[in-house]
Amino acid sequence: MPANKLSSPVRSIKRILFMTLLMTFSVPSSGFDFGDLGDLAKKAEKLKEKSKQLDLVRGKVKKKDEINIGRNVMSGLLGAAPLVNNKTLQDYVNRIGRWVALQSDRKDLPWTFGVINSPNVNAFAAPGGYIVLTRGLYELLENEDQLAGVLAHEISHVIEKHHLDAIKDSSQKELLGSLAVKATDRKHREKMQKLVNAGVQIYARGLDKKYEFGADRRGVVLAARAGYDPYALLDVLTTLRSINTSDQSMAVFLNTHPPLGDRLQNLESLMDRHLHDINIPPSNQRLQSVNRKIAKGS
Amino acid sequence: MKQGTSSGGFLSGLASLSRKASGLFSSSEASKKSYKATATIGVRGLSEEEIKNAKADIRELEKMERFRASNKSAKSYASEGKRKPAKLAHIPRSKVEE
Repeated sequence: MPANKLSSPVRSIKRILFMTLLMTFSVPSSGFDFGDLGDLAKKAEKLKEKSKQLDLVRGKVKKKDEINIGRNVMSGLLGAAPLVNNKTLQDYVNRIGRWVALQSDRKDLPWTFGVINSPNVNAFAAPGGYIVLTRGLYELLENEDQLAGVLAHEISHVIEKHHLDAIKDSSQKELLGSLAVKATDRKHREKMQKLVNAGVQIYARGLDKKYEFGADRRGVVLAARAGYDPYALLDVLTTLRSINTSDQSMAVFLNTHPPLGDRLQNLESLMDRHLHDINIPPSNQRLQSVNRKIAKGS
Repeated sequence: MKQGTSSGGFLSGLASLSRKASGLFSSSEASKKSYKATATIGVRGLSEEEIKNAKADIRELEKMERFRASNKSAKSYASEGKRKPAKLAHIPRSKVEE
């Protein structure tokens, strides 16, 4: 008998089997209702979110998400210390910071800089191009080259996504996906607050020491590319080393960074080998000029 | 080590510390307002504990974003300050980063 010409009883059995299968898999015993569709949609949404989190954990952080994470983390930091209320100062650091960032391969980030009102000596970078230094650190700076050096170090953390890596490496990695989501309701906002705290706490713990050495190395090149004296960062580190280690304004900085002596030694050695013949332009006097305006209250 | 560094190393640090003591922002009214805001949320500085207990401040973030400079203004300001871009390769990683 030809294979395509089945006998009538066989065709009937196949039809019955087909109908049984169709009823088993297509129509649930409770009947078809739209609530099931809602459940499926929720499951699909959960899967999508899970996949997004996995992507983030694997390092596939979209620029949009990186910026959103940075905004949330920086808002947490600003909750601890607000900006110094001085437009002249904030405009100044934004112009210098943006110019240095333009020398990097991530010019497209929304680079945003600020000086926060804390007497402690420190600087912080958040994903997406959000960077602040404290008033305590700014007041130690002697010239624009030093400001550019400090900002270039922080810009390097952003470019290399060090903070994102720190979140991934920490126990908070499952929260990373949620950090990228905007708060829409009260429940979500409460969750977001916990996540922001988790992100901000990395500032209290500090980054891996290798990241700090890396940001020093890349930072001096960025500063030099922007036309600043790359050795100015060494001067800032030397200044910081001269501060008494028991000074409370240095406590967090010293706990979260490699020893200043090690950073100076490493950076000096690298710069003497790679930047010894660089043409260093004379320093301008703009930082002093900006400070005079600030002192006058303008 | 570079000779004749413009910003002077250790001695410059001492000078800076004395300036720090004088407080660049202490006399400005604007600064006093910021201190008041700081005190309201119970933050005296930026200690480890204070960072850990920080509450998000979206308004302050939005304020920060309003200060963002455009590429055009950054370039123009760099030019005014006689800063010219230079081509320079990145330094290879050292052993301390491994």
